[in-house]
Amino acid sequence: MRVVVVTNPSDDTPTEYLQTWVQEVIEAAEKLADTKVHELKGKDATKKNLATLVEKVHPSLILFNGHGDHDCIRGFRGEILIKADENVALLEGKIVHALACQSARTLGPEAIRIGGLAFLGYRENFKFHHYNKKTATEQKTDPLATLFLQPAFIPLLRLVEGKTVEDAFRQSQKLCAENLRMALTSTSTVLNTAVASALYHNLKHQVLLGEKSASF
Amino acid sequence: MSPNSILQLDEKERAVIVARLEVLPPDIHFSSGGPFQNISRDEMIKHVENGDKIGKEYVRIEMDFLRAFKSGELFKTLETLAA
Repeated sequence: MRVVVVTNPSDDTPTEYLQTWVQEVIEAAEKLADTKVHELKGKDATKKNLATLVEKVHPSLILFNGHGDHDCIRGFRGEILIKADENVALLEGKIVHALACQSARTLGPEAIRIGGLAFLGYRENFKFHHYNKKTATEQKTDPLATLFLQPAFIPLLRLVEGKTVEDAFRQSQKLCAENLRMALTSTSTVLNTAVASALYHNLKHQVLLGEKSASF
Repeated sequence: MSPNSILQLDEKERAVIVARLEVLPPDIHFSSGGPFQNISRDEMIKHVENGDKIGKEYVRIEMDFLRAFKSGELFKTLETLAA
């Protein structure tokens, strides 16, 4: 049985958007007969719960959604879930996708150093713009958020299906570049200014660390 | 570059970025960084004008983009990914 762990603190608007967008990946994984998904949601996204769950279910893929820093990823109300110099050993042998700012700068390399398989994330803050929508349906159809979150999440569907992390990374970069090209050539001021600059930032700072041929 | 020139350049960059922000719709929000950072257009304009940490980061990213656009680096990156 293949096991995925997902963290979704969902305690402010940005992390609510992430939770909304990762649902498609969770649903796709749950439809696979050989795959089990465990989600740490809201107040359950704590350091203790993560350690307990990882030690119990031995996931091969962890999808972190939340705020982060260069050496950590946070859970509910800013609690540190995983930190480079504390509990990074939990990532040994795992494929990690971190939609958490800057975490590929220190935490990612440290995860690989201690035996993590692969780490897909961002060396700088992940930027996304949106229209501050409150319901999941509105967040999923927010035309601005889509330009940022579709390149970040859709490639995870391929990862869950068994494609390599390099395949997921390349698809993510390609989708981001396509949205950037569209923004640059658009007559919309929102797209050709703020959206274009933020997409370029995400494109430039997304990295894949570790074993490129690793698959879930 | 003298400290005064650096100061003037900083002010000019901030003015350019504020002008770029002012043409955006007021309901656009910017998310990134630490917890509870969900910033409206008008709040971001204040951050940039005040030159605080959030404003400085926003200016840096915008200026990186404008420099990459001017130097051609942006299009090289896109060409590489199209290949």
